[in-house]
Amino acid sequence: MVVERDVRLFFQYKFLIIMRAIWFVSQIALFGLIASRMVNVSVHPLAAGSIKLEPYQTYTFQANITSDLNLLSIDTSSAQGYGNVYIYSPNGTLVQNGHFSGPNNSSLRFDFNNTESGAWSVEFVAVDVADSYSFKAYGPTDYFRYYVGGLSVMTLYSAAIFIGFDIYEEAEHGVFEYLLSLPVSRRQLVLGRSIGGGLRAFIYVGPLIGVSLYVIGSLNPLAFLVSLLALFLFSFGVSGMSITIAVIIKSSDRFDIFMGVLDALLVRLSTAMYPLAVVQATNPVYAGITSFNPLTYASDLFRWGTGITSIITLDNPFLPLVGIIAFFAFFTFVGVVLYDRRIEGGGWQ
Amino acid sequence: MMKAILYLVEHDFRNFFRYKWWLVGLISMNLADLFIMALVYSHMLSSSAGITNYFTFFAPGLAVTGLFASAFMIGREVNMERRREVHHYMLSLPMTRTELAVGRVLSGGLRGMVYMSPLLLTCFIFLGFPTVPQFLLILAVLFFVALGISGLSITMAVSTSSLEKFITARGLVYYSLFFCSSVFYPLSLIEELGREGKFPSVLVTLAEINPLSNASDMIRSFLLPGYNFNQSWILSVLAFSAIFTLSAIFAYMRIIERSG
Repeated sequence: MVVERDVRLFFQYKFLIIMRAIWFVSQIALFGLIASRMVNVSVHPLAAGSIKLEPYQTYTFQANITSDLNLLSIDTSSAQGYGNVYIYSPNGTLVQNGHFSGPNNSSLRFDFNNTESGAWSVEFVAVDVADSYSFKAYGPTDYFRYYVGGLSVMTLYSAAIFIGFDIYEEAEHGVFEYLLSLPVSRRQLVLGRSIGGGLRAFIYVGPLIGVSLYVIGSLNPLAFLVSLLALFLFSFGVSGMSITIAVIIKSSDRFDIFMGVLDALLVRLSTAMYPLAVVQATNPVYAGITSFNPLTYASDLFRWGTGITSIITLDNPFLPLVGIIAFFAFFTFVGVVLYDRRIEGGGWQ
Repeated sequence: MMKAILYLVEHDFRNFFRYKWWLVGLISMNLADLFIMALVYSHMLSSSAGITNYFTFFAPGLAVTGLFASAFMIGREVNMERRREVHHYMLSLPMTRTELAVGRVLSGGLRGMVYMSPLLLTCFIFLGFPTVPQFLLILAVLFFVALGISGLSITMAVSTSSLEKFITARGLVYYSLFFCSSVFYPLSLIEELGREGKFPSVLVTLAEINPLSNASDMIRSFLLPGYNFNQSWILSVLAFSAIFTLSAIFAYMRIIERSG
């Protein structure tokens, strides 16, 4: 009954549903499409190598590229001196070259489009100091599909969080007293609310996930079922988190700002928009937070379930699944306990 | 006339700062976009994108998006006043309909400028300060953009009878202008997609004449190398501002009189 009430209540907020749907579609059709042209994600390695060169020594790596070469990244972070890099296509043509100058120029990147398969040559020429050099070649990655996968999880998160705002509405309109008079225990009430909050978010996001699957265009049925289960638990966990924070803060203004800031940090410090390897390259602190973010777990599992494996760094889907179960269990339990203790006694602002 | 308008501006500013927590949240999100998202995107840029540092590219766009979001807020208030019939009180005020309409558009624009100022300052701190004439031109163009956005928002608010319709219209306009602009990516990418037939030409044109594109690119042209100032941006912004300021004034006067 509690779940049914929350689901019905949610679908009365037509404006929220409309706004989110427009946001979702415009994110895919405009931002996703254009941004995928702007970025080149390098996390799908095709070949790699490293060498220590004496001064004025030259070494040529042979990289056998069997599929499209998209990017070559040259790591010269341990180099103290000067040097040059020359890249030759399989037919021996010099395609690109670059110059590096010590640790200030820690990496060089060369982008490619529609390259030929075969043995590519990457020639290093050390100029004056003995140094170590390495290179990595990456294949093309489809950022558009990657982004659409993350967008579904972001939408699910923002829909599930809405239950906390319902609690303030109820406090403001005196509905709490009515809820407390119902023939259900406090624990049943909060559990029902947590499940209701998660379920309604899932019902809402269901068609949007359908759109995502259509855009992504691939599916691994068994993995997808597992990822769907993970999204269910994630959704319930986010609802539980929202309820927990709402009953702790008890001020709609503070809740509003807190959730705004939390949303900004959780979404941006997750793999919903970009791969973990890129976050790691940007800032190890950001990467540390990203690695322990439930949004990261949900995004990675959803992409794994939909078969976008070329860009994610998910070695073992079991670990994010455990992370999501822990997140769900923690906030459902804490939500039940806190809601039970703080629902009475007023103090709502 | 000015005194009445100033009273209205003061009234709307008081309303604006009632949402101070909301504003702090919005600024936090804007800064998270800059200091997290933009930094990460810097590590994913394709060489064909024509950008070497996404952080510096995005900082001017962020100030403009902040201006847009905050100047647009006036529409929500006007729509709420219309639905709750607060216009009866408005009509009883000792001022003309024109003063009332001009005051609302102006306050919406000024609120946008106030909200945007810390974001613009952040942009200057990281990208460098423009010369005094450039700074004055930036402020003037942004003010006209804010006026136009405020006017657009009020026009939509008074033309829609229910909250759902307003929210739908707002969502469409909001995200079209946001994402179909050079705020997040260079205009050349959108034009390239258009040439390849992957993007409708109407959206390419929208991106080119979009005041958010014009304002962002103008700031970039003063602060970043490789961007050339184009006088047509100013004309485009002035046209946008004039059209929507006048539309809002006429629509607001018409609806408030009809309702009264």
